[in-house]
Amino acid sequence: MLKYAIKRILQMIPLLIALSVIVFFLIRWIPGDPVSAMLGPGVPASNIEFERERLGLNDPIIVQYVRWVRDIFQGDLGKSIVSKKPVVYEISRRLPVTLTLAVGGTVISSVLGVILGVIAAMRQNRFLDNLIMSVSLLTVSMPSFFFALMLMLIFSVQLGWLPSIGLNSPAHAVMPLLALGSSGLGFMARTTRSAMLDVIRQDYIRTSRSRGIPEKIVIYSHALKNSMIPIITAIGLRFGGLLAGSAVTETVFSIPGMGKFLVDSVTKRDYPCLQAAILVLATIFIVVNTIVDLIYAAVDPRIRYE
Amino acid sequence: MIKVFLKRFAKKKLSVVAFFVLMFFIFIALFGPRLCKYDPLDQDLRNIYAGISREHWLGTDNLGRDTLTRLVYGARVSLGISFSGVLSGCMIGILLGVCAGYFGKWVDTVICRLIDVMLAFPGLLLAIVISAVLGNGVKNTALAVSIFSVPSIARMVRSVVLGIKNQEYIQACQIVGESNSRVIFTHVIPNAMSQIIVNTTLNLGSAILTASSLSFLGMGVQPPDPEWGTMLNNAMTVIRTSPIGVVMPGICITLVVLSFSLLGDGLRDALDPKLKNV
Amino acid sequence: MKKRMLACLLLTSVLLTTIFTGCGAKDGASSGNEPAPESAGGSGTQKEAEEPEETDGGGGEAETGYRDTIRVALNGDQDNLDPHNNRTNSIVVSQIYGRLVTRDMNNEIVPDLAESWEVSEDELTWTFHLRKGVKFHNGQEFTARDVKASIERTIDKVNTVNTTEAMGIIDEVIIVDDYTVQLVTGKPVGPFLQTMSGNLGGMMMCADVIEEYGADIGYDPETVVGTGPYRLAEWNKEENMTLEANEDYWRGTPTIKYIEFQAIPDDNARSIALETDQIDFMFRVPPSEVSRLNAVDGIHVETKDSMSLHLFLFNMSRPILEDPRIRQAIIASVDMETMVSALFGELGETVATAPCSPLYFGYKEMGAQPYDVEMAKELLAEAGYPDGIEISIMTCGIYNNGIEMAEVMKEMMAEANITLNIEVMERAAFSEAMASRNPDDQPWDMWIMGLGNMALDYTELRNFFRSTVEGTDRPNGSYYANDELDELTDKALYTTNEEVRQECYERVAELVWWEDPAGMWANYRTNVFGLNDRVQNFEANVGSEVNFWQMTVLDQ
Repeated sequence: MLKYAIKRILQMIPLLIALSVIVFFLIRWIPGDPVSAMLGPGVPASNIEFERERLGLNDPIIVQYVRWVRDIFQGDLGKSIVSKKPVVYEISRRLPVTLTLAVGGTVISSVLGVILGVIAAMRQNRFLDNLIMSVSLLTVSMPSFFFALMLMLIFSVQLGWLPSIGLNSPAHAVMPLLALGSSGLGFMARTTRSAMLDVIRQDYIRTSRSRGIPEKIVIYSHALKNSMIPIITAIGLRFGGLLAGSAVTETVFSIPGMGKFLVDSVTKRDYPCLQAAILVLATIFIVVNTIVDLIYAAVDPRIRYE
Repeated sequence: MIKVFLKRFAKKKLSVVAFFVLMFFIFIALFGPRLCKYDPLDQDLRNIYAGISREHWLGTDNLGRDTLTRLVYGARVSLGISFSGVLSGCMIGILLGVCAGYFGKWVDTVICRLIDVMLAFPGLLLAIVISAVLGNGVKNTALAVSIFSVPSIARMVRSVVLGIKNQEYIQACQIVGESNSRVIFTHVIPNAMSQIIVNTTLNLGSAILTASSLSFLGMGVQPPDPEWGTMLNNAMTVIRTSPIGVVMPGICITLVVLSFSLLGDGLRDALDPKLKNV
Repeated sequence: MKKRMLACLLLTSVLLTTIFTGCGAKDGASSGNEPAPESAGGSGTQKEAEEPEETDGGGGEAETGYRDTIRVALNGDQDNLDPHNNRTNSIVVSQIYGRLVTRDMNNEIVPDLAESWEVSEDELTWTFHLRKGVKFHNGQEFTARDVKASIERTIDKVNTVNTTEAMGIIDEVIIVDDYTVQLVTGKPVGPFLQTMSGNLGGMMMCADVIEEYGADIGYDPETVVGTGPYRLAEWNKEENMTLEANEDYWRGTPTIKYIEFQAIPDDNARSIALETDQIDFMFRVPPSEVSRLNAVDGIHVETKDSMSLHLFLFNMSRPILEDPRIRQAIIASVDMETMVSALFGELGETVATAPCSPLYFGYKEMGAQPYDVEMAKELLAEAGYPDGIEISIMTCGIYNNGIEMAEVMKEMMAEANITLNIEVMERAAFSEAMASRNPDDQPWDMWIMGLGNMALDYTELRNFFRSTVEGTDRPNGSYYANDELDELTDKALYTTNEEVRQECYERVAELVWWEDPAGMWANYRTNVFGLNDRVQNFEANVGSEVNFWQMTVLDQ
């Protein structure tokens, strides 16, 4: 197991290197340059040129790349072209917000998803199963900005219960978490249901039942516990997905998180911010995936020997 | 084989319903435009944001264009982007996955790295970056969707290939001297088929959502092309005064995506050799 | 079993660490977010959306106190607070900085940091007598030294990032004494005061701050130092910005002590925030929300004139547009009035009746550009294209309804056999394309543009349409070249005789409007604000500079 773990961890490194290279070059392939985006149309070319020179954007790309990598190892992720502040500062302001929302959203979708998945599995193909499967998929099938706005209209305008902008209090977090949580509901419910169905067919479940053990214990302590592996894998993936997939929700609720930061950086071509943000998020994502893989391998030895 | 599959599939009533809903929309996409009275680009500036009326069954949009007509043409565009993008991405994905799994060694390593990098981009961001590089418009959006769909299919195909590569009958074929491509097409791919089908169906649904999120962020399909996501986005500003412009594309998107998901679910259950449906 | 437990533990600890780091940092951030006592008051003063208004006839218990904070929502965050570099809008910088002369709420030029001024006989030297005792936000006194540093920054030939072409009229700044400064121009300049009163470059900064911080100005309270009624207290980019009243403001201490700016880019979310009493004041109300918000109890919408307009420029480097008849045909094929009324009617915007806003010096009403489809077809035939032409237009969503306008034009032009191909660019690509002076980078026949400058003078057309930038080879943004226009705009700039200037500009307008059309003009814009009824004394000038220092917020 240890050998496999080390192997997987070491595999992250070339991946991160490849990622940094691809990200760096890919975003410079996007038409439009940061300085003219920042200064806007109608500004004399001399202003733009001067600023580009100052920011080192006219140097050969390889040079810029090397400079960037070298700086990373010194803990410096560069300075934002738009705000002139260190990228580390910008990210450190937003990452906690996104992490909080991602964790909260994952918890909601996991808890609800598992519960619903269990019920659906137990009532397979009957009305409740179909109902749960369709409803849990409903919110995922809607465009996220549509769903977010619906929530706002119901809870902020009609009912007046919740505030809709920013993240200054727990009340502010309710709608965004609802929006994010429900987006994973379908996935979690489905995974749970399918994992449970796998387990329920097994002999030892039948044996437990025939031994007269109460159904509740059969479901929760036997069936559910043994389906936890794919469920935990799904939770890990879900968390990773929420890290940046929340861009739309954050825009609608005016929450300064990583998702909106990424989108804004793309719009403004703020290369240092964009590179660093993608790298940070992707690193977290890769780490979470690796951990999930390791967990998977820890309990299913077949995986290790591939 | 097919009969068994159909029997099992029929049991999943929800998926059957979903299938017919999708057929309905595909029919609309293919033949609807012929039945439409208006042109989707016909403007009527004195009649913007009109409500339901006999002339305009679903009202008009911000430039006085008939909403129902635009929904019908929009079906063509949205489903078109989804199908062309996902199916082409699927082909490329299958190709990559097979090459990676079958030929192994450095081919595998390179392809795997590529896939991993693409998958390391959190969700929507990959679509955003690709879209920013390629530009706006229907064709480029389809291309972005295509690229976006490649990694998951490739990875899945690769693992299937790895799973059966070393099985005896494959080795037997190789000994007998069957060419690689024959082996691939006659044995490897059919084995992965069921998973490919399920995966593709789900991707078809999420492609529509990706396209609509892209247009929300200012990329993707641009006006005046009718596309459900763009229509939804444009109508959002009048959701308080003229909700029908938002509700209709929203319902269409939700229904179609939901149907794709349910269909995928049903297919997965019906094609599953482990016989979960008793 | 053991392995499984290990695995679960591992995952749980990972999740827990992220929860703790997340929450910890968030608490840290929010406790740092309390510069003013009222910033959490946002939630404290929240009301239920349907709470009925207290109409107590006898005026018994209605409170008449004032709140000290106003919560403002803008549609986007400021890019920076360097007045010479800010490209967002003037709403915030106009609170922080002052000018020598400025435009009041009736758009008249009035003294600001300069009490009086005179111009020399040869009309080349403008002497300004500065107001005494004006303090910067950092306590320093405002003197001639600061004027020199500020202006030199905008005409710097080496460090060009803060320069503007308009300020190029100034050759030299001479300090006579602490409170007297002379600005010397190379030639007599007609719209001199207009330029000083409206231009970005006219804002006065602190000399020491310029020296110390240079290009880093505009992002932190230490570097944002002005003489205006409010100082920058705190700025969390993309989150919120708090301005604090300048007690030493020379016009008097503002009643509103804190202005909290929030950026809410989503139109619906912004309106909802106003409706649900999460904000008191909002800028940029979407057209479809104007009547609806006005009808909501406790909220009203105010529309103010703006100096800006939209137009579609002809790319004169394209061979097909050489013949003015083709351009005339293109213009005549579009029913601009109907379009403007449909797209912008709710905002009170009207079709353009001259190349610049009616508030500009030099304006003469010319009526909308002609609309006549038959004439358009005839013109095309005359020019050799009886079967019509095909042209391309590039538009961008940063202009309100910019994309929709192109869509409408496409439909309308089709009636005159003009096929219009639309290309939509997003912000960054658009800026880059517009900055280029290489026609190869700009393969479109027309593109959208905004025009509008607080100088409120037709000399702006010179910036747009003079064939080259004075003293260089550099063409203007749309490659328009007309010798008569060059002559006229130069003449009008370098004289102070108002009659001559008016005459010149009227002729220039005739040229660009129809004789040798430079573009298709669309709509005069307005600035639309949404206010909670508790906000009193609101005024704004055409540059969307709002009089926060005179406003009050009733505590109701």
